Amino acid sequence: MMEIKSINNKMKFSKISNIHSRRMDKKGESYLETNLIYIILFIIFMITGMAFLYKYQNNVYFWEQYYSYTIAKSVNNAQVGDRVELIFNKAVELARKEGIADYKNIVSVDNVKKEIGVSLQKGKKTVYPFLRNYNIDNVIVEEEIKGYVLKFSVISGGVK
Amino acid sequence: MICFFKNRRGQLGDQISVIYFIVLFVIIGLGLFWGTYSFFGNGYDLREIQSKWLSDDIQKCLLSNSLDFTNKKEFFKVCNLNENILNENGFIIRLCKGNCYISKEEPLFSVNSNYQLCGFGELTSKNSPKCSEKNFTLKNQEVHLIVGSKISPKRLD
Repeated sequence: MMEIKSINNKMKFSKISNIHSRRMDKKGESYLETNLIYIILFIIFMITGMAFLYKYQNNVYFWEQYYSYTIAKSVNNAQVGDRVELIFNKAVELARKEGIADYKNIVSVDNVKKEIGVSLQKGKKTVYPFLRNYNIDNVIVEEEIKGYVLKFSVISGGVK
Repeated sequence: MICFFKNRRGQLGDQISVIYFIVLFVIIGLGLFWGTYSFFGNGYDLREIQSKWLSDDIQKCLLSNSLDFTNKKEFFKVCNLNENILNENGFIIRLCKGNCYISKEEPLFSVNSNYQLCGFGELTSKNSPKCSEKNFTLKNQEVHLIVGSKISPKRLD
């Protein structure tokens, strides 16, 4: 009888411990379930935030403005017949990062509107006018020992 | 997750903090957006630099050439400036004897008429001009030159 009792006690104890361990598992699961939504939201937030910052990381608009203004300023200060050369490393580097493989088309000139256009992002362009009665010709970006150089000629332009 | 939606045991208290969590993210996200946009979004303000450069250039041109102000075309030709571009982009140029703001005489030379905006000092609007003013002697007369620019680089799609 004593043996049976001890066996029963053992069984009871094992049942209790099983239940306890099951409860423990359930607690662990529910803890994960409770926090899963927080984890998912946190991951979504982090990805969105990182993507947003990555988009602005290159600050393309700033550099487009910088180069369009610098080129326009060079034209304003130039004389007819001048061949202007500007170091263009940063522009080419940014354009490549933004997926523009052909760096030769980064700069465009509208001699009718007297505008310099700089495009460092696909489908976007920043334009800035120059104020002289000049035309810009032979715009090229060349790779030299010192890096990429933008070259253009200032020629006499008719008044619109 | 399923438990979250099917919970009928009055345990909403465990999950209610998700609202605060989302609100917190929204606040941080808006802060991030505002910070990034205010730092990178506006770009260069070139109006002041441009107006200063143009006023220096015009002063230099006026002092080194004897111009007849009755002929506007001659001014643009001699000073090598494109009249259409200046007009289209809203540049303000006004040259007067004495002071432009108080003088009742006709200006010697003028491009665009809203030079009064330059007298308001610091205008914060993006579309308002930033001006540069100069007083100098031209042909033994004290003249006042006002040059204003409201041009900014344009982003095209």
